[in-house]
Amino acid sequence: MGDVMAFSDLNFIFLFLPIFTLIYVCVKPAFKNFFLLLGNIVFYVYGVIHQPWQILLFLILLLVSYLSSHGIQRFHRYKKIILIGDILILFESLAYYKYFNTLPLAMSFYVFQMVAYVVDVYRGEIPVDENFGRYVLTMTLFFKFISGPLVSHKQMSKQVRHRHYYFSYIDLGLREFILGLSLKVLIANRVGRVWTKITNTGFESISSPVAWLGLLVFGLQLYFDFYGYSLMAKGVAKMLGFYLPDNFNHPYISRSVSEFYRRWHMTLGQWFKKYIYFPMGGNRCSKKRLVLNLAVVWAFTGIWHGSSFNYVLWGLFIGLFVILEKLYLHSFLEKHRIFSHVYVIVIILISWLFFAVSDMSKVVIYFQQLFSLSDWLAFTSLDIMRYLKDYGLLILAGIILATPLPYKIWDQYQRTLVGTLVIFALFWFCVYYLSLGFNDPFMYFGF
Amino acid sequence: MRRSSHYLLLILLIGSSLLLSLVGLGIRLSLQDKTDMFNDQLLLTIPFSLTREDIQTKLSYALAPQEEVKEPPVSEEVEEEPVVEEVTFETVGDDYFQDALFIGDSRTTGLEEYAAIPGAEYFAQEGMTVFNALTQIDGTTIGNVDLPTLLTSRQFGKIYVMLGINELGYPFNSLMNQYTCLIDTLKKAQPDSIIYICGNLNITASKSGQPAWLNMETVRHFNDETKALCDNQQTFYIDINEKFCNEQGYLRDEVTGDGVHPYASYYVEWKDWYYTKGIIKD
Repeated sequence: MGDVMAFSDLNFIFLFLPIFTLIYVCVKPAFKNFFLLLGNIVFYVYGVIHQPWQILLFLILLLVSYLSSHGIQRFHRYKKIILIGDILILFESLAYYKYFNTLPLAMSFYVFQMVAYVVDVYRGEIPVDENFGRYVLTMTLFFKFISGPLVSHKQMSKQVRHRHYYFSYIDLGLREFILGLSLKVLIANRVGRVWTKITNTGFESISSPVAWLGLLVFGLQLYFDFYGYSLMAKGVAKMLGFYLPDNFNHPYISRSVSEFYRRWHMTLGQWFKKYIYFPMGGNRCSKKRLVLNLAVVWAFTGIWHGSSFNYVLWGLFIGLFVILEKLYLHSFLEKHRIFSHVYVIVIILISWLFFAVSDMSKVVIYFQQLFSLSDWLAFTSLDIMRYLKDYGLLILAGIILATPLPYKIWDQYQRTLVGTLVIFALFWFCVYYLSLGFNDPFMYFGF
Repeated sequence: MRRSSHYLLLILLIGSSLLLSLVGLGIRLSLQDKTDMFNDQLLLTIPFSLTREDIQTKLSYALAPQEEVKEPPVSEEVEEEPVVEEVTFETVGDDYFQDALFIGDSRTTGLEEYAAIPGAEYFAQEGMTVFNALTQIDGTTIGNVDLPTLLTSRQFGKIYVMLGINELGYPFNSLMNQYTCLIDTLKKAQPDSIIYICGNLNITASKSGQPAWLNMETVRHFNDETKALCDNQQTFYIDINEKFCNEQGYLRDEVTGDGVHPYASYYVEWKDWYYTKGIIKD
């Protein structure tokens, strides 16, 4: 990967974004799209400048999907073959680079966008994008290009062709951007240091309470890192007159693992549902087939997240509980509220172990530490007290911010004078931390 | 509550950014003859950088008047180098450390957290350097006290010092001057104490060079220079690298998770190694 300009990069915040937005606002409406395309190119090229072959690869795949969509429209007799050929080329390219080479910047996302576009054209859901320039623009929108959200081509293309633009969008977009930045820099980056500290201690040397704490902080870091990014993407999009859907809906308040993943990285879940799960039959089939469908979807979800075996294990672990809930547990969880919340937290925290640790021998050690029950009898004399003393408030803030309540309050007051001053202060706190060198790369850049 | 204007936040952000940039520009311009340390960063981040202790220290050294290098007087007599006696280490027990003090940075805090020797005291904090060791107030188990006060309040039989890795990016002469000054302070304050100058644990091959000034060679060079300060009468050199490094001199990969700090289980081995470095004075 090159020196990608993350949204939390100071160069993005103080150079690219303000300069780009200023010119974009001043440019006549007829030229906004052209200028946006230029911005997309600059943003992408900056990120891959040290590995320019990635640009060539992207252009080739872009051309393949564009030509495939035209082929499907023009040659009805061969449309299925063209579709299969296109999907094979795109997925095989992704698989090759993911498993046998260096994964190019944004490839996991843009391949999925291209596949979705071609399938939608095949199904007749959207017309072919006749204008290649507009097609490239829609595929390369810099505020969602690198890490999503995955949005249907129909939805983005519609906005590219026609969108309303008001100056107030700058203000609204900025507020959303700063909220996302704060969640990432003030919560995710800082809470992530706890996980780093635990990793550097060595899993065999941590107590059981710290082992659970480790999974909790990893889960919080991953959530706020990606949720923060998604809000920043949404904010930047808003500033330019675009609407992006939400990617998260407070997943940690879920009452089942299935619900958790209806609330977590929602656009990816919707992609898998629409393009893998439903075509396989969804849940309108026999129980055996349903189990197979869910296992396949979750295996692929794991594979999408990473090339090492632990991600497949993670996907299958989640898939197992989704299957159990579909077949047996659903009504029990519906009736028992407290149990369902505890069950979700425990299962999700354990699942993060497979997500966080790629070395299977270390996973085994960590598991042993998790269930070393004798540690809990000597709670106050353990390492957990040190962690709670140093990071307890931060972790508590993270837990509270994982619930919907702070956002309801935020929505109500953010536009007031006090709310504006709070956002202003949050912004400079973030810049302060970033200036001191606490800038961690966005975790989902690795996918 | 009334809603604020759509322009307010934008005006506040633009105004404050411009103001901070001007301040940063002023700082850079005023220092450009003395240092280029702020040349590569955004102007408005310069005021924030100044809140970092290491930046303040680097700046103070950059601004300090350069001392003239005095040539040593030429003597016609050939001076013999002082003979440094060989030292023999002995294996000791817990009793040996009842009057021991460990001074150091994050690696010493790791020793304290994961492998504290019963009865020993630890004056350590993450980020401690030879430049702030005498002014830093340790906020851990030893209480809120600075090192000079601690040294005058009680007598220690042994003092272990491991500092230097955080400062390898500083001008080397300044670093050695300050280190020598620290050791002299310890010797004067605790004339009967054995002072162990502990070689800094090196880093892994993958970590070496990140940043450029932190590499195996600079760590080794610093360790060699501090070893040369030892007289084997009151000051003695010991080096944990003999236990944890490979043949090339890099910290072994299995010892550490981040290339710099050992895993907790290796801190225990480190602690046990100290027990083999006892010095029993006649």
